[in-house]
Amino acid sequence: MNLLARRENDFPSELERAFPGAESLLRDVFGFGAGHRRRCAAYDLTVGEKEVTLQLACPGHKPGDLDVELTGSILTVKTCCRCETKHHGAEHHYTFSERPCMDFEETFHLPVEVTGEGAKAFYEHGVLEVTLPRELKAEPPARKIQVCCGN
Amino acid sequence: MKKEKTEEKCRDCVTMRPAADVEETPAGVEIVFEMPGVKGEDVAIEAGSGMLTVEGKSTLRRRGAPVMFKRSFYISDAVDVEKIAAKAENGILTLTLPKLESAMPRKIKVG
Repeated sequence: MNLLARRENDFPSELERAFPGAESLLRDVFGFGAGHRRRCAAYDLTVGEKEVTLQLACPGHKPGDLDVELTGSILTVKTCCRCETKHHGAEHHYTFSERPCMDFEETFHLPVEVTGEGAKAFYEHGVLEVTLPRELKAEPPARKIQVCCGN
Repeated sequence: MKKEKTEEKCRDCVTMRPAADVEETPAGVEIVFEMPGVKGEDVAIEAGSGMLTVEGKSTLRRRGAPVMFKRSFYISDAVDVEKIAAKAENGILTLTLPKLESAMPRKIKVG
């Protein structure tokens, strides 16, 4: 007896609203469709005037599992020990399993120059937030260029 | 019916479907959702009329817009909706759906 069944289309598209069943037909016949397009937010990078903020979704970790490294303008986030929340063994029977059970390493090439001094990383409720101050170079003083007359 | 509405509907939110693991146990079903950025108090669970809906507003943002996780499942009449338990920790929401006493397997003695 199945106690639970998946509800496939939580967010029907315009196509699905107009022609119910069209999405599943496209997926089954041609192998594409919008069934799983909104699965998980990976990251959000915000470039501000004074700092760069990265929000990275990495649920199921502890702050000690995360390794954050900055080299120049390349930011790397590594994780480990992810599989604690997943059960193993013959006595456990998964009806379905969508959550990946693996470590990951993400590298971000930041679009502006940043400095490691004053950088902060904070992990709460499965979200890692890294704040990096921008490297603000003093602009060279403006130089007047005299315009000469041809005559 | 279990209804815990803690969050108002978010108009500007991007709604996303959280990944889930579903495991059947002898006592019922356990569902584990990935809902990064969702606090326990921001989760709303609604169960009844053969449907279970879970939603939670996240602190995550996607292209500047706040993120809302939402997912529904069809549930059997054998689930005891009054005893559904939920736990949120580190962006992982775990729901335990116990079976009704009447749906539990019974041993029958052979005379």
